[in-house]
Order: sequence, then structure tokens, then C-alpha cells
Amino acid sequence: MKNQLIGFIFLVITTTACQKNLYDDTVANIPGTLAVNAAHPMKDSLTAIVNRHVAKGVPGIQVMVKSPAGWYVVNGGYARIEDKTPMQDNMVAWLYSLTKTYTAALTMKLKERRLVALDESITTYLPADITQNLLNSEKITVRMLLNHSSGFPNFTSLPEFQLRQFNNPFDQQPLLEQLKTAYHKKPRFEPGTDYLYSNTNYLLLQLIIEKLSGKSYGQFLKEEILQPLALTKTYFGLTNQQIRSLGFPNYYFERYNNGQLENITQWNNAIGKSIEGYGGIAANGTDAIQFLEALNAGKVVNQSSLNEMRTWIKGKESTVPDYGLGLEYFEYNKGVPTYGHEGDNIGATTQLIYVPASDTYLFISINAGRQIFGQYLFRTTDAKIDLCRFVSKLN
Amino acid sequence: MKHFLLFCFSIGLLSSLSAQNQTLVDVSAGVQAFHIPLKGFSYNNPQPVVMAGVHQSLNRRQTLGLTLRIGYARHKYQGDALTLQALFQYTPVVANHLELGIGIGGGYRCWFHPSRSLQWTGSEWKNGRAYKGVIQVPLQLSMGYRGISTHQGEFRPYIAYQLGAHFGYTPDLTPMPTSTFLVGVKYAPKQH
Repeated sequence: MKNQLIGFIFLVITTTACQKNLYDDTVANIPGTLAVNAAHPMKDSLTAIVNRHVAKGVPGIQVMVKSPAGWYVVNGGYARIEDKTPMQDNMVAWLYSLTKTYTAALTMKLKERRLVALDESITTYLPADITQNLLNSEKITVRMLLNHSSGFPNFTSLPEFQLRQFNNPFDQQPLLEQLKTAYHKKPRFEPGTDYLYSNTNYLLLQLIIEKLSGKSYGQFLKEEILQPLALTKTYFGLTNQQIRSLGFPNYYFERYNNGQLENITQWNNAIGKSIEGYGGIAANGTDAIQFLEALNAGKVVNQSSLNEMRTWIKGKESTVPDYGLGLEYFEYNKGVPTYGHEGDNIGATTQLIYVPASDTYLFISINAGRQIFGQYLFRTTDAKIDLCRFVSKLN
Repeated sequence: MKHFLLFCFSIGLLSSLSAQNQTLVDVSAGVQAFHIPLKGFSYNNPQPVVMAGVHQSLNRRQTLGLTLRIGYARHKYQGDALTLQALFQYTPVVANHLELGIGIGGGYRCWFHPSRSLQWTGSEWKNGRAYKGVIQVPLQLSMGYRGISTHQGEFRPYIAYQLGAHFGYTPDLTPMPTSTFLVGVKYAPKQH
């Protein structure tokens, strides 16, 4: 028996010692560089900030800036650590929740066509077999979905959703199945009385958009935003083959909160494809900036809709405004408002901001995820805050 | 290391107890998934698990016992795990042969990365550690049959459900829960 036990342990150790690379993927080489202003005034500082955070262990950072002085791009670290593939100007990356700004803009376009009224109950637009499972739905308006004041819990933060992720990383559920995780869950507050960021809201908005437009989200996005703005490097509904050919970076996850990263690219991409209207758009950073620029210029929605999108609400515990309609409010330097959106997934974090005072846009893509209290929460968040603080600093 | 020493100490303790009460070899196999047995949590994509150890009864009626086990849980996607576990069990017998059991214990689990891990040294990326050790608190419910005796010894087949709470896996999900269903047998060779 003793010999059998020793043999069993030996077998276990030898099998586990052979580690494989389960989720990683290749990074396509996308040649070419973007036309930038080589003498951009932010060049040296942005490069120094990126290098400082890469030196602290952030795997890869891409930063794009557009200001009155023109474009500038800084790529730091690696798109794929294992073979030291650098980040590339022309790569495409998942935008994650930056997608919510596109979804809000599509909703505003429906409002402009009088197909949806923002202050109407969502029960007017969604089928009863959905709304009867969502508590308070009769009191919740489309606007409350848009500005996260519905009180619906964020289903992607619920343990039942997250445990399913661990059990089935490659078997992502379709939207309606995902939504069932939110069914019959107690609202976090009375509708319209507070602020809680919740993916449930934007999943429901996608369903409303599809019902009222009579088109799939991807088709409506293409017809209403991507084609009119000629955003040729923005994608939705990608296949695995497309993902491999577009130069996506690999993505990294700090599984054990010990400062060690695991390459979870294919898991991350599987999620990216499944989160659709609440996080599933992928783009090159230039396209993301051009979209926000067009939105600000009134080329996506009209001025009245834009004003509504920039009408901020503030949660009970917030000291500054939180959210408009599909736009997050930030104040990295006191008294200097900025807005845009952040995005997160297990293997990455992104951000897009606009600084009205200096007419400057900033796009950040980092290929390591932020886990709660994990070391990489701080490493990646610090990098984003430093970049946003610098870009929104007024001289 | 201290957990290993504790395990060895426990084995020694069992040896001294076995002089007074029955010691059984305990082997089991089953499936495990990340799961909590609550409404809304689905048990999906279970992965294989095997366990082996010894069960030492602590009283003459054999209703109290301590099980020490080593287990190996395979997980294709989230990393395999090697577990050392001590489980105190109350196992009353009803209807002559039906052994019911409830147990709670503690353990240590080496949870391996499913893929190579990478660590920034301050100047370059190096391979990281292959695993992380986490503390496990298992709670087990079981039902078995006590009364199969052959010329080789006594066999006690059982089925068990074990809820494992793992502390230190990830702060996003603490404790990380697992549900394990086991089919096993406890065996005591006949004393000649």
C-alpha cells in the first residue's frame, strides 16, 4: 500500500510538471505605422509613463493620443510575452465596455426617430417573458438602463456567472441565457434613486435596439455608425479566424493574486465575442478615438441627444458625477472634467477619454486584466490613472 | 512544508489509534466542478477526481472517525490540483447496515496553473511557480453500506458529496467553492 501511494504521488507530480500552453494564440503581424506628429508635445512624457509602468510588470500598453497638435502613438511592452512580440500601431483590440458608448448612441438614434422614448418603461419594448422575470421592470425606464440607475444587479459580477466561466471557458452562453442569471435577483435600490454600473442594463438595451430596429445589433451598428463614419478598423461579431488575422495581442490573467500571469487569450476572446452590445466591439484605437470625436461633433447623434448623453448622474456615495448615457465621467485633475468609458475583461483593460478643455482624446489598451485586490488591479490601474492624469492636465 | 509535517504527524497518530480501533483503506473516484449547491448555480462540465487514504475509527462503535486523504483533481481548463485532506466524520449506522456520514475538516491544496505562468522579475519575464497552495475546508455528506464481509476482509461502499471551500484562490471569488461527487469504498483486511 505504501509503495502504491508513493507511486500515485510520483505519477501526479510528473504529469503536472509538464505544463502546456492551453489558451495562448499567435499574434498576426500587421505591418505599417500610423501617421503621427513626431514632434508631438506629449511624446516624451507619454513614452516615459508607458516605460515606467512596463518596468513595473505591465505586459503591454498601447496609448494613442489625438490633440490639436495631432496624433501620437506609444507602444510599450509586449503583445505576446512568450516570444517578445511587440505591441503594434495597427493592431486591433477588444474595447469591452467602451462598446456601451456605441450602444447608447444607437439607442439615441432610435429616440431621434421616435421609435423609443427614453422615459418609457422597458416593459413597453421588451417581451413579457423577459420583463416578468426582472423585478421592478415596470418602474424602470430606458433612460435608467442607459445611465445605470435601474438598480438591476450586474449579472456578470454574480458568483453563479463567474463560476460558470471557470467551468466552461470556451462555451460562452448566448445573450438570453446570460440574462437568465439576472432573473429574479433582488434590485440593489429603487429605480432612479442611485447609481450601479451593471452589464444587465446594456444587455437589455441591445435587445431593445434589435427589436425596434428590426435588425441585429451588428447590422444596425454597421449601418448607423461604422459605415457613415468610415470606421474600417472597427469590428463586431468576429470569428476566430478573423481574430487571428487582425493582430490582436495575447491577453493575461492574474489567477492567484500572486503577481504571476497566465496567458488566457482564447478564453478572453471567447468572452469578447459573447458580450456583444455590452462589451463586444473590437477596434484599433484610432477608430475608437474617431468615433468619440464624431460623437462630440454631432456626426453620430444630434446636439440634443449629445446633451442628454452628457447629463451626468451621481451615486449616493460619489463625490463627483458618475455616468451620463453611455458615457462615464472622470475627473483626474480637480476641476478638469473628462468623459469617455473604461473597459475590462479577465485579460485586459481599456479606456477612452476626451478632455474638452484641451480638445484631447486618449485611448489606452493594456493586455492584463484587473482582478479585485490582485496585484494587477493596482499595476494596470496605476498606469491608466497616470496616463489620464497627464493627458487631462492643463498647462 | 508545515502542512506536510502536519500530515505526517496525523499518519503517526492514526498508527497509534489503529492499535485500539479499526483502520480502513479509503479509495474513491468521482467528479468535481466549481459550484455551490444553491438555486441558480448549475453543475456543469465536471472533471474527474480520485482520492485515496485511510479512515481511522475513533471509538469502538465506529461512529466517529478521522479520514486522511490525498486527492488529485483533474481540470482541463483551470488547472489540476493535488489535495491533502483531514476529515472528521460522524458515521452512525441506521437500519442495521446503512452508514450515514457527516464530516468536516481541513486541507491543503496545491492548485496548478493550467498553462505556464509568467512572472516579471523587475527586468525580464521568467517562468513563474507551477502552482499556488490554498487552504481547503471540506464539508462532506455520505451514505454507505456497512456489512459486506468476505474472506479477504470487510468492504464498505459509499457515495459522498463534498463541498470544498478554498481560501486564497482569487479574491474575486473567495472562498472558491467546489462540489465533488464521489463513489468509494472503505476496506479493512481481515485480521488473521
